[in-house]
Amino acid sequence: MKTNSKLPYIFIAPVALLLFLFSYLPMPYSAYLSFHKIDIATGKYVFAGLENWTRILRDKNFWESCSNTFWFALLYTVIMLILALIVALIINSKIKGASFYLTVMFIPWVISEVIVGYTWKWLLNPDYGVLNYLLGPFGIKASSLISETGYAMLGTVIVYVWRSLAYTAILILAGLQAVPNDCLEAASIDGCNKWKAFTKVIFPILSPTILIVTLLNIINAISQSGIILVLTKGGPVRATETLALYLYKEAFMNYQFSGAATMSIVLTVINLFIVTAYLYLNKKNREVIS
Amino acid sequence: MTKSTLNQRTRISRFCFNAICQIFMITLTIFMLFPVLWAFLTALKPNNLIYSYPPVFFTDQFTLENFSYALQAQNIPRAAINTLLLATLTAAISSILSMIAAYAFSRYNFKGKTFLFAFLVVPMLIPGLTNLIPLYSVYSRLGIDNTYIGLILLYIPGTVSFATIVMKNFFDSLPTAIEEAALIDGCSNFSVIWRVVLPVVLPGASAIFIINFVTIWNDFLITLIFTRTNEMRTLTLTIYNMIGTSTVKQGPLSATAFMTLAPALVVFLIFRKKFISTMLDGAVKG
Repeated sequence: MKTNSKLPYIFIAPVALLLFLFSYLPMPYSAYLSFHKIDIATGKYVFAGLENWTRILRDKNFWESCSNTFWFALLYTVIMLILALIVALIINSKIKGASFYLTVMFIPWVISEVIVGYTWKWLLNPDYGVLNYLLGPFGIKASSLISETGYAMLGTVIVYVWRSLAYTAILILAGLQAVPNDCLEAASIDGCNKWKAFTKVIFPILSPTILIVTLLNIINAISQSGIILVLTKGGPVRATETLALYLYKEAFMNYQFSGAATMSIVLTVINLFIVTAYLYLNKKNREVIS
Repeated sequence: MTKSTLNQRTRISRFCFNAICQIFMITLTIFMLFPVLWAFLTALKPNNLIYSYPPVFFTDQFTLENFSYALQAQNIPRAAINTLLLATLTAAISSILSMIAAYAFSRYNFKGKTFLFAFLVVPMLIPGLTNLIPLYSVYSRLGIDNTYIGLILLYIPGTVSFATIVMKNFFDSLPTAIEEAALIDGCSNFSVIWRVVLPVVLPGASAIFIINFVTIWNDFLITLIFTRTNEMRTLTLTIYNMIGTSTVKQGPLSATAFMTLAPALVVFLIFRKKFISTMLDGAVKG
């Protein structure tokens, strides 16, 4: 380790400056916008007090999108964790073709959100959709996954899980590979079967990883908007309109920047709570490992 | 119970366990691949077979007309050049900047190191969309929306945090002995970096370049918000606009989607091991 008074700061400066300008500075500017509104006569922002805030709080669609975000994050995280855990355990048990399976599962991850959205929209098309045809004999009307209010959220979640499953799976896999082999051997000598080895040995060692992956998935879930925008546009009847999508629509389709900025503050605050928990746990976890 | 029957029982149970695992993974593989495959088949089918129910899977009427139609009608070459330009430039600049910052984090002790590292990591966890609203209003006032430089300036902060974390881990894994020897032999700090560090670091930097490239190649939210004219369109934005147009049929749309997806997919498949391990490196230690 070298110590030099100026050099490291010079090296970090370009990155730090860019992040300051493009990631940190926008936040106070959003706060500024949330207390101002556009004066139509002059086109300039004038002070509006709490007007934007009271309007948001009275906006039924805002609360609905908050609750949609909650359900989306919950469903996404639960389905994702269960599937990713199973996948990670199977790959970790060194079955034949493990690296092939991992590669295939990663393919959706390198596909653009707009293509993911369009591809699934076409698969689930009510008139020509191939999934209606394939799953019809099992009594499943696949197209309701994007066209019926009761199922649309589930459908959206399935598409998001499809895209990011491999990513979460390798995060858990990394945690699994940190489980010391002699622990497992000791357990099997003591007569543990696979299920017992999982619940009594693997899971306790894995639980910090799972907690962190859970928080990371929640953080990802509440900021998603791209695929939903293409897949359902928030419909049918706002059933899949999450907060992130609602503020996109308010800002860039209805040009209500002050309102959108106000909502973005709400989203940022919710997000910061989870991020703080994540950073705290991540740090604690690393201290335990090292 | 004799020993051999016990062995046999464990062997049978292991066989069953493996079989269940394989069935699960094969089902999952089909679930993962089928949508991509179906988009490809749609792109190859003539119009009358695309809109038929029950759907047609294989036919002897496969054709490339959707691809040629899409290439002509949608100005794909221009969009492809835009996408390639943006992705290459951003990936290059972002890799270089993050490499320099990561070197400082890995090799130097300085005041505020922990704080600065957290300063770098946190933006990765902030929803990108919340920043784009105020940035849009600044951009349109400065008149740099709908320009390459404006887009690149937005893309770099979005990729640089992850890149710096990965590069820092990469530097941490390299021995410092050679650098120290070079310093003792009278090399300046900069010539150590240029002559000693850079050659060793290229594998790590190339992994970062590839991931950044694919990220920008796939982006559509930023180009959707920050571009206005057809000349600035990227491939993903072309697809988004085609979806919104009722006159564009599924066939050309799937063909365009496939032409957009293919380069990213090929890059991923060639570098899959490096790709996956780098993704993991950046996420776990972030």
